[in-house]
Amino acid sequence: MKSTGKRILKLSINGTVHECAAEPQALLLDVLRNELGLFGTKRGCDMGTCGCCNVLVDGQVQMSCLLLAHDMTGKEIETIEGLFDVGDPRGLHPLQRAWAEHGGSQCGFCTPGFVMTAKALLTEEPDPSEERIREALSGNVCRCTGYKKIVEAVQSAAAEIRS
Amino acid sequence: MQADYHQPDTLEEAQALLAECPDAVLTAGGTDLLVQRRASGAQGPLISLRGIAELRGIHESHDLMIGAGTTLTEILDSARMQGDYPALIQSIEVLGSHQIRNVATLGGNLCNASPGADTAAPLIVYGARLKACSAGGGDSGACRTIAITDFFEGPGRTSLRPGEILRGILLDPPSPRLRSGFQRLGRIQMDIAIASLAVAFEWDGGQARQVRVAAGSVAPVPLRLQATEEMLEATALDPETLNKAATVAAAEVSPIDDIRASAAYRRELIAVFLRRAIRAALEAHGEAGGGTA
Repeated sequence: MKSTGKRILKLSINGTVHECAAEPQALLLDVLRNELGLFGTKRGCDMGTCGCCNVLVDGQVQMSCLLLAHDMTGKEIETIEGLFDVGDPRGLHPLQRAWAEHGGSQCGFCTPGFVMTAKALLTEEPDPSEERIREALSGNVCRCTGYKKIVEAVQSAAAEIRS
Repeated sequence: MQADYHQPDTLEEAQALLAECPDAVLTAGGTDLLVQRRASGAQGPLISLRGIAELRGIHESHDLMIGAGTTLTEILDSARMQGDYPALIQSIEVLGSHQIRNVATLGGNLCNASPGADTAAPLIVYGARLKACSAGGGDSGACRTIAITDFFEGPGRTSLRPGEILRGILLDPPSPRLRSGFQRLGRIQMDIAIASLAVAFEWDGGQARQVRVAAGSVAPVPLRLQATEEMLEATALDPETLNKAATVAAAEVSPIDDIRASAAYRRELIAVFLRRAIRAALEAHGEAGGGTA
């Protein structure tokens, strides 16, 4: 079958419709970073293991390194750039604030993926147990440190969002 | 320029595309396939099954049919599946991560035909049948049913014929006496299984009947362990029988040494898993049985 070149792609990302041209088998991760300049989503292992490229697709956490961009037509994609809180002077979402306050990041590379996974969890379960948080985050890898402060950040953000 | 990516909306359209382009590769969730293609540098055309509504969902008539394109998360969330097919649920709970299960499909796990496909052993012990359809048949004409034990032919190879698409996985309704369970070990959950084992049997007046045992990651294909089943058939699953059957199971598998574990360790795991799986299957119903593991 012949190659067909780039095709027009319309993606709804963080509530805004973006239009660009993308190869037929382009990955969502590449479109986000290279076509749309959304660099918050990271390429880590590039094989579906580390969770650094996690985004939300219709509210569900999925890996953008394993999603073909043209499959995302008609879906609502949410990336780390979409997180905000109008009540915060810096506009930070409670998860982002909690991450900073609890030292959930060292180098920060894995953070966007963790935060997106945590957001999906807290939408589904506003008051998860520590065990549940650890289980939900089990597909995200941090190579700097342990997971204790990350879990604390999620617990703290959960409490703040509930209040 | 990349090869094409086709996104048919119906099974018929997908079959027509496949007939027109026989070397195109079918993809559903893509969680295994895209990684494999990246590693191998394969760049041929892809036909996506993601947009085909008729491949999705859990349909109940006399049998239960799980559409091949149903995601693992959708199966986990089904109360019917949780209640009736616990070994399958247990295998999915430990398959990959949330973000994998949200995308990966049951049909994809089978068609990828990994010797360690976690859902295969449970589906073997439940006697699953696979419905495969080729062009021109719509929903019945050119469809056939394949016993799951005839489906796997080797690593990455299935008995699907050129042009056929896996439509769904058929399961018999379980009897109230059905007991079943699943055991698995990986280095961490995200890792491919070192070994796994599923068991199902009818618990009939303190005797096990229609015993089925299957194991993963211990042979070129997910394997049904018939000699082990015979050892357990029509017994009370007493400790002595279980220990004998565990020895038979360890001998019946044919594992290899690889980076995850040695063959000897895998045989040992299978013996332990058999006892544990049977004991857990009975305990889930408040029944005693089994030896020590």
